[in-house]
Amino acid sequence: MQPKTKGIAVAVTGTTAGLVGLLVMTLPADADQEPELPELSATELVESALTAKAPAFEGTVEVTNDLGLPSLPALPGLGLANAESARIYHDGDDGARLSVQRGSTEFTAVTGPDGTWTYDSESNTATKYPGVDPTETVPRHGGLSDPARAATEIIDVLSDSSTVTIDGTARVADRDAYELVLTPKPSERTLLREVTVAIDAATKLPLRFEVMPNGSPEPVVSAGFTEFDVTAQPDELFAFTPPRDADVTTADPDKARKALPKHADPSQALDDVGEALGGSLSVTGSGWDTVLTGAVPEEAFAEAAERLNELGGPDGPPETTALDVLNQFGERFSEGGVSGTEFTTHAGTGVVTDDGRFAVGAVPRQVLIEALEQQ
Amino acid sequence: MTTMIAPSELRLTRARVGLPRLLWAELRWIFRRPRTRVMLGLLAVIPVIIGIVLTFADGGPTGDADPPVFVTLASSALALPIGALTVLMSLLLPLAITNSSGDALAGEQANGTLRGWLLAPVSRGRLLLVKAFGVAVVGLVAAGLVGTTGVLTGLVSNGTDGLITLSGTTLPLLDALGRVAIAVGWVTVQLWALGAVALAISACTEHPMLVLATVLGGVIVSQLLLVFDSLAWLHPFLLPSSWESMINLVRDPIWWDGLGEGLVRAACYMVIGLSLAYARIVTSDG
Amino acid sequence: MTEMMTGAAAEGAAAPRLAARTRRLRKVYRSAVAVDGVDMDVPEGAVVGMLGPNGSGKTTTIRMLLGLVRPTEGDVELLGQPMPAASELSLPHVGALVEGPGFHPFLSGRDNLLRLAAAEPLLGRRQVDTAVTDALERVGLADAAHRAYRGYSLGMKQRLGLAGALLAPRRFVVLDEPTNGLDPAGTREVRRVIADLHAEGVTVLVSSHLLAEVEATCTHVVVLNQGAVVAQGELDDLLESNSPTLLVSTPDGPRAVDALRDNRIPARLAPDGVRVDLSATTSSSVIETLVRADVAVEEARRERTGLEDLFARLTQAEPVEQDDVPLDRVPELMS
Repeated sequence: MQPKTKGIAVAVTGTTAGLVGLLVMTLPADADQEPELPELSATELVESALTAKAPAFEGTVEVTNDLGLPSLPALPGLGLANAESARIYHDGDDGARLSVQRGSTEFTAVTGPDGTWTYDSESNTATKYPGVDPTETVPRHGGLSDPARAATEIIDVLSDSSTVTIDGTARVADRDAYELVLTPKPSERTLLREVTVAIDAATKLPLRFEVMPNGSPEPVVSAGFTEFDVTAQPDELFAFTPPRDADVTTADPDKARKALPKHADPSQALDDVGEALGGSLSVTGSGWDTVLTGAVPEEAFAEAAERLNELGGPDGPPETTALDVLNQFGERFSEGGVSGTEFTTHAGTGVVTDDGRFAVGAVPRQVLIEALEQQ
Repeated sequence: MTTMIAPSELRLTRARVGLPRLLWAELRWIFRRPRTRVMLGLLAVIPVIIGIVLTFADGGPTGDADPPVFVTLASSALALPIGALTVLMSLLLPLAITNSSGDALAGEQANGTLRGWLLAPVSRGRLLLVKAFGVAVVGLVAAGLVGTTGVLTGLVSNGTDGLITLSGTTLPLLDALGRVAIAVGWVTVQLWALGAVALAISACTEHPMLVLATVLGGVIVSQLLLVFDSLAWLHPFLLPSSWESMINLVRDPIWWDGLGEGLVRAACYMVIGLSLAYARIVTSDG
Repeated sequence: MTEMMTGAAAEGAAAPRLAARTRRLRKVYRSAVAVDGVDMDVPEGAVVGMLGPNGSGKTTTIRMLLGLVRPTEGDVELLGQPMPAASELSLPHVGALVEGPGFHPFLSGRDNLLRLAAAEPLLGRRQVDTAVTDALERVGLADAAHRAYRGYSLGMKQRLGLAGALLAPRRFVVLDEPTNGLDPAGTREVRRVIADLHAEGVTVLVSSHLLAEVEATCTHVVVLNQGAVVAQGELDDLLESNSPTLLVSTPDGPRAVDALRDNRIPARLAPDGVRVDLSATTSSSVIETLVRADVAVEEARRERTGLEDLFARLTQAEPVEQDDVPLDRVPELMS
């Protein structure tokens, strides 16, 4: 009987050890720990974040959204939990490198002393952005001379619509962080509960940004570091030589500015998007219940309808029209003389009216209709 | 009736065969087996075929949502072997290792050859050690062959200066070879994990085909389950969930996260597989 | 019936050393009792034949003896060592052919033996080659050594299995059905190998269903039935202990049997005549009885009980008519 006992003991021990190992891997490394950190006021935290200078670091950023966007019926499961990850390297000065993973391809942006490049492995194209000072696009916080005053100003502005607090601490990417929380004032008519920004206690860099909806513990959008290591980075990371066979192009400096990640002027960005849509956009309201309204470009739905028809194939359902597309994902409504289709997600609402206008915002439908009526 | 002869004067001494002798005998047996040779030959040829197809077909990406890396990246001595390893990992490499595990215990049991060694005697613990070693070598040789012929094909068709990473950097040859070596090592460890599980099943049956069907079925089902986002909670438990991170070896710098996680996961599978195989082999009737 | 105990003990000599010994050996598989309380002795130097119908527990007993199967209950000693605990001490000196030859079809006979020999602790690295060559010669396979095992005939496979059991110098050789599939020449060959081993002082345990085979080669016999030992001891003792028989050839068998039974003489019909038990009567009175009953007697001769007869009496589920020893009492009488 002895070997039997031994065998069972080995089997139980080994299997348990293996399963525990697998289980441990599924647990987030920094689950629900709240590190002890010196007390800070929100203003002090914002101030130190403004003055913080990024050290040399490398990290992995993961962006997930759980917006609950309607998904195409042909592709089940798609869009429920989109995750995209990227790796960021920073040399503590002006050099930075960003690699975005897209399946078996990658998009890389390098900016360093020799200039700025992007490389797309899918098309094997390298683009050089001459004359773009990479620092130009990185917000220098509006040339605020006095970070303390700037911090106060920012908090003041936010305070119109939100309560800004420090809601304890958190572990993000295995680092201690403060949680700065913006909660909408009761007067705000929004679907969102709060926005939290985790700020690294040591470097004062923002580590994570989360948007929390009402009635769910899961963030609808989360962008943050899953890994963050402050260490010196080798210089060659911030230089780029295009590979032998790549198509090398040089970008127009003006466009280049836009191509780079925009922390630029939001109104400028709005105009750009409006231009792209072939109509003008306008903003109604402020703070949490800001609503964006505009006219629907006609081709947009025609294109979508065509795409769906392709997906359906020759044996698919009969020809889909633009209206069908709308109805497939949204619900019909009619309220206060406005009728159209409503789309709801975890974080916001959008409506498209029958007369070709649309409105979106992190608000209930009623607010959107009010905004449309004000037009 | 013959007269009783005095019992021979041989004294019983504890004699044991050196482990290297057993390991060597096991390897000789494995690599003389026609099935093993065909399998390994096939694995060695596939990267060459991929290389030829890519050279002549001028790699227009397919309608696949996520084509293998040797399609998206010019066929090079870096992308070809790593891409080939990734593609073969979905079926053929697991087939090779499972086949070997199935033969190791179930096949030997079916042939009645396991008795021979048990009666020699080879203790059951040592027997498992020898078998696991043989399977491990098959894994290493299989992955190594794919890597080697992949590199050679890439070098012949593209020379030494096209070692481009997904990040657009060009690697020196030695660096690229180092990465292929890492890929081979990493794939080998993943194969060992499969081999360990297959050995556990192999110890429970006399039918090598059953081992093959079970483990390959498991691999295929796991890969299928990985497609469903709603089963995200299950994914960390599935061995193939880290197989896609092999592509991270073609990035510059290498992204280690997924690869490291894959090693830990494989180690967990190995511990489970080997402990179950051991438990079964010491308690079973030979 | 004390002399039916294992010979030497009865002669008052010191108990012989045993090559193998089992006590209260029992093996229960999930649903069936395969071996039920086997006490078996294999004296050193003996050639022990193991007899029993299919399913009598021969192979299971052998497998437990060799440590391949763990007994449910009971003890096994092999060459004086407890099994399977001390198998590393005893098994190197034991050669075995169990449940048919087991080899890899794609390897040649020689390569198969080389693989087997690699695990033999008694063979040094340099001895392996010669040992394999010798073993192949011993079983007459030297010519076919390099052919793939796949192409071997049943007899050749069996001989290779025998060679595998004889790779190293052995003290004890266990052969499970060694003549299975062999032609008469092959059978003679095996008989010769067993005789040679016996001459060298090697203990041999042979299980066989060929009674003539056992009778021709063995010094001792163990008979198993339904998982238990029903008889064991020296072959001669066992055979002599049985009552003498008169074999009567007559054209009118049934009538002869009736006539004898009317006179309370145990008799039964056999294919070659009528067998009459002489334990309680004499040949002349048998003849007299038959003649008086008007039964023609063509020939009558005294016959020593064959092993076959003994075996039949010990293992048949239902007692043969008027058997004088009830089957269930046999084990007690024997031991």
